[in-house]
Amino acid sequence: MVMVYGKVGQMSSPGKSAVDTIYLDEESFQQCCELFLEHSCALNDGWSWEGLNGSGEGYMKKTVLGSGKVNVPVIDSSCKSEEDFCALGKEAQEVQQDTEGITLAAECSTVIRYEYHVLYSSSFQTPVLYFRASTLDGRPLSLDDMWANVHPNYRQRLLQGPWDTITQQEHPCLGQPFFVLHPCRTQEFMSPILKGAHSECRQFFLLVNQRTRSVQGTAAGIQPMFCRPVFLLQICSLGAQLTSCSSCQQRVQLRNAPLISNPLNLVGCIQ
Amino acid sequence: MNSKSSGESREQADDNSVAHSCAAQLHLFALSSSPSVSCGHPVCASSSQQAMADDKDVLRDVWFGRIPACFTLYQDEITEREAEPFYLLLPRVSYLTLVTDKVKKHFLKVMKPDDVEEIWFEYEGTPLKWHYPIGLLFDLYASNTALPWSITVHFKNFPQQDLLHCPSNSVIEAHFMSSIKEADALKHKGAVVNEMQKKDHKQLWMGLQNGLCCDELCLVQRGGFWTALISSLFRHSCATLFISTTSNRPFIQKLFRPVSLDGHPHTLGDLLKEVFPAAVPQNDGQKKYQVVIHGIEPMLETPIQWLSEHLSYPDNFLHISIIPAPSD
Repeated sequence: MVMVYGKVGQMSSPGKSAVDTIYLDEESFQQCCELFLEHSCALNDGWSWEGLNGSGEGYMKKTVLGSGKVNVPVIDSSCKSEEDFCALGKEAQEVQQDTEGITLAAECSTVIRYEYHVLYSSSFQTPVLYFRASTLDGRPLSLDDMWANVHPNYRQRLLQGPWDTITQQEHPCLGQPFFVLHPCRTQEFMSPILKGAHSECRQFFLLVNQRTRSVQGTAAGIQPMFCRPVFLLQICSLGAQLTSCSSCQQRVQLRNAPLISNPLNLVGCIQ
Repeated sequence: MNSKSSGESREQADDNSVAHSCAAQLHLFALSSSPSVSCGHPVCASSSQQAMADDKDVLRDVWFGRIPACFTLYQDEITEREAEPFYLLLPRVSYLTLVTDKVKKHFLKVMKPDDVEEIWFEYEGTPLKWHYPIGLLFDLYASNTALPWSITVHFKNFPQQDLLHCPSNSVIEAHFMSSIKEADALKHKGAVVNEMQKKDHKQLWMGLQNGLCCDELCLVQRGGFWTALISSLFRHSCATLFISTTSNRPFIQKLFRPVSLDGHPHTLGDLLKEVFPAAVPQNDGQKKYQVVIHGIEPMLETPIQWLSEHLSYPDNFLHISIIPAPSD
């Protein structure tokens, strides 16, 4: 589901650089979320609003169950193959792990719960995507596990594209570890869409939800793996701006204006 | 319509020149550089010259503040022989996993490599978030308890639901830099960080690791970036309030203007009234909460600007702890 919202904002005053005057305030974020949720509801896409304390504040969230593979440590005494291991009941598996022996990692097929949250960052005045995955008994998936569950074709493309840095952060409302995705090169991602943008100054709220096929490749099981991040693009007819991404320290020249991006250096990156 | 009005106010805030308000009367419990966290002598700033000298002392004391800690190995960890506790002075402005290499080495001496997984720390049952500055953790969980601060060390059963993983120092560096960027975005719309290159980030990080204080960073940091990052002309204050009694949220982070639209400096009391009014004692006196920054309880009349300039952590945030007042 791809939703693009336009909202007429203010024209920035001449002589001032565009990035100084453009922002997405929290109220606009909440309004956009309302619209988004209406669409989601109509499509039965599963997004909902999680409010905080009865104030207007909150975030959008979506939980999805899918099947995938998880690395499980295996004590290689009696379990010769992953099927053997997975065939054991959960308690037996734990006993296996407690006993002395050589530890191997085996891939185990299991149900995975994916959670996606879209929050508003008042610091950067832009939406941010938080996500995590866990097995049904609450064990969080590592980043490696998550990547392993993305089809190799998509994985390669995602790793090349703007989505190549993910860091673990504390969820501002829940206080729990989540992964946060941030694009390095927004221009590459956004410019095809925005080339046709109106020359007026607009604020766009873009949310792209990509659905990939399941790892097993069955057409019946369409599973969302990674959401493209939600971010705000401030579009202005003032021309190109320089912006740099924290993670790759590159200076990204946004040619093919009109395209300005708000600071997208949301998090550092793991070296 | 709403966006229009906030656009106007933003315009005004940019035009306001933000003046130092060092002449304000402040009573602080000065941090000494000896192991105790707070000794009790009040510092009263009357003339502005005296105030400037005291302000510099405050900055130094904040950056060099230390907390004595006693690290004990968790009783259920498997050891080859008895593990002695390890004592260490922890810098308030740094991060647990950055300064505890010695602790780790000490306990690894009595353990088999097989029994060692990722290290994590706990205080009275609460896993300690390494990505919070040490001083903040202490103020939040242990400020009214006897020193040394008793921390339990674990090498197993990492609490994945509560703590971020910290596999290497570069993860700590990434978090630190991410805070700096966030603070810069709030204060200067990201203008300073945008001018910095990767080597400037590295230099800042090395400065923190080597225990440089704020003044030294001003001198050492190439290109004057540190000075620009902490500069007093900012449009918003970066204050994060950590309220230990609220289980709803781990912290509240608010954009807060240092000066009101009609030019009055906002105070700590103003910030609290907006974000956590229960922390402002009512006229009938009973104080329910303590508002602590770097082990100090500043007066509520203290201007936010001053607090931001003198009591910010190296990540350029003002981290404020709100804890229940001890009952007598």
